[in-house]
Amino acid sequence: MGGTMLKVLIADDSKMMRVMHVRSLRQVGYEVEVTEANNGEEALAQFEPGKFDLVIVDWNMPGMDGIEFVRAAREKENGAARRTPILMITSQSTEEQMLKAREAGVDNLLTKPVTPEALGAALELLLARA
Amino acid sequence: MGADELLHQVGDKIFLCLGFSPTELLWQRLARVVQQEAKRAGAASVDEFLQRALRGERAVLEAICQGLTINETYFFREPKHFDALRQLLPELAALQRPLRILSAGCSSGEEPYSLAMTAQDVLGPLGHSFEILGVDFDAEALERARQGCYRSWSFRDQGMQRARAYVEQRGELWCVRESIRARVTFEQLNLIERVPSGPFAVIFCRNTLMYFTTEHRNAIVRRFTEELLPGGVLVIGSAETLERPPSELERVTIAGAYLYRKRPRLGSVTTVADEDPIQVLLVSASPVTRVAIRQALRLLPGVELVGEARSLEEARTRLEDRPATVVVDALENGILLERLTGLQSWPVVVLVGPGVQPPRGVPAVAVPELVPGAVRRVAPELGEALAAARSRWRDRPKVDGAARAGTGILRRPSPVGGTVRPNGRPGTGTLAEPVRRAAERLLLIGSSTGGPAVVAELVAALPLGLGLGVLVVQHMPPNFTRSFAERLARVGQYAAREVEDGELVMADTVLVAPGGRNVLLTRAGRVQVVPPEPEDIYVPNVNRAFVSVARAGWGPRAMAVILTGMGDDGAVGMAELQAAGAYTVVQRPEEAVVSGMIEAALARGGVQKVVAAADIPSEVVRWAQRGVLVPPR
Repeated sequence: MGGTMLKVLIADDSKMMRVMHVRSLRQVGYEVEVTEANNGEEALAQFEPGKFDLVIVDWNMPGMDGIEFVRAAREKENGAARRTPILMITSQSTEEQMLKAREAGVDNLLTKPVTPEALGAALELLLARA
Repeated sequence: MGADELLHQVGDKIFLCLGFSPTELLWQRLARVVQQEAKRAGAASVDEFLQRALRGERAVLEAICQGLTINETYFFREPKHFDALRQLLPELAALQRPLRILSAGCSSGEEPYSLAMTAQDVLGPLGHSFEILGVDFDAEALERARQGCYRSWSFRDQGMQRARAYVEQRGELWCVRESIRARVTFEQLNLIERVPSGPFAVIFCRNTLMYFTTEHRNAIVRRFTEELLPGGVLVIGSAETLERPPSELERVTIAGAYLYRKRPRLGSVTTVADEDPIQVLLVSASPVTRVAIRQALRLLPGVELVGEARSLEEARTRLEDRPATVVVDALENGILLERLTGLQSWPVVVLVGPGVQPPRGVPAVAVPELVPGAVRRVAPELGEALAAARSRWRDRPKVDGAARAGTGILRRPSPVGGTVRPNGRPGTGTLAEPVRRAAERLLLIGSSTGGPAVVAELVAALPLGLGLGVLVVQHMPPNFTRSFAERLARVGQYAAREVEDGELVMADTVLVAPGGRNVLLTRAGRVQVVPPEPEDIYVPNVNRAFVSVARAGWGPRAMAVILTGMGDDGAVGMAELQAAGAYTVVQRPEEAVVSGMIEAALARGGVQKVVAAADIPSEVVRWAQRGVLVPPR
């Protein structure tokens, strides 16, 4: 994993959170090439099957939210050889909410606040399959 | 027959056999499960499937039961419970070897394996053996549990991070390592029929009890209590409560988690064994005081704590069932010394603040400060007062004035400084039952990234009766602050809500600044809710709230805390508050998720003390006990 160049799409309406995610990714040993999006629409415009190694998405964003984005992204990649791993980072953590995320096509989910260690472990899980 | 009616008939049948309490939620769940199982079984229609269930077709009933009882769970769900266990395990290890843990309602095994991993982390290095028993009603789930292999989704949230060392990848799955699996055994049973034989040092039964009827639930909890070792703990889901826990169980907070602990047996070191143990009922509305006095009582041989009550009314009810020596906390919560007359059929000891006169003839213990460590030091005085109360009680004249004669005084000098106590004003003696009243002092919390969890822990640990109103300014988008406030209301004893414009800051109440708005305090102690200024990067804005408090003349009655967060909001406000006479502290930057806000406040020079988050509640209590330097208007 050290030295791996990871193409990441980060969708979060908070600049602060986007910066934090990038920092955490670097801290746990990934080199990243980041594409940023402020909301679901922007993320969807960027998203293409196979273009990214990882998507990190917030649930609550103005306009198209994270769940809607994930549904649309999964639709876009319908038939593609390989699903892009999608990690949702959110403060929504009830059972229903988690299941909703799962049904939308989220591969894994972390609840805020997210430490770099937690992010590292989640990526290990997600990227191991890739 | 309509589909709804069919569903109800099937539901009645199934809930009865499972012992479930048919809540609205359960009905919804049943409808979902029936639909899903009908599809899976290839039934012609849901109706046809339900008809088969009504006819008692076994496969259909079992499918529905299993669908209903499946617990969508994952590794280290509700991480706090495992943190609490981690903290308790060394102590629990002294009770039992091998240490036994029960996971009741273990579903597909994530919970018992998480328990085994936690135990291995703590007990492994100590060379202390342990075993985990997982039980569930659902045979199919247990089969998956035995296999011990899971998809990555079972490791969501903190699962992977915490389980990482104990799982290995096998294709698409992650499997629990043999070293952990060897510690866990599984057994199928229905808890309403049988609870496994203990003794257990720990019982986890989370998000399971809520399905049972009250009657079954109480019976199961009673059985759990019997199977627990004295000193052992019962852990239930954080969204669940026990309405009437058995008296052997006491509710304790450990690492921010609420657990039930079976009272330890007192050391049988009774040296002068000619005396019966003094049985004590502790009465205090304050959890801090209860914890402290509980500890002090445990240090006393020949003294047995038989119960706790939060009010005199509750105490009276308890005493009718079981007479005891009553230790009443008159330090706060408006318990009036005069009102003790209602308790004069029993020996009484009163805890008073320095400089307070207890009623004549009542043994009193002056407690200098409401922090656990300090109260432990009063154990010897407490022991003497208990002995005095008992002997005077025995020697009381049998005809009249029995009550007064059953009492005696034991006092200690006031500490220096002529402290003003927060609430029970000495000598006034006219306070009625505790009622919410305007706050006499204000705790301000400014917080951002990583803050909600810390704020919740802080609020959960705050004792009532300090005359304290709390204003929380947490950077959060609109629509989030309401549920955050609701969460705060659940975790602690304080009322909590999203603040509305013009609301008066009340004691024992937490007000949360609404997302997308700013809050300002007025001289009269009311909160104004206003739109943010264009230049406010962070909203709700901590600086604007803090500065308004300083300028409204509340400085001397305010304590301000800056917690974890990115950016520099709050630094200016802290400096201005300090200049206005407020007590200003920050969370230790090393433990903050993001330390930016803390460091900015420190750099600005408006911080008087750096405190670990866990110690902030006692810091608040200490500050509140110091009294106000300027009397409130």
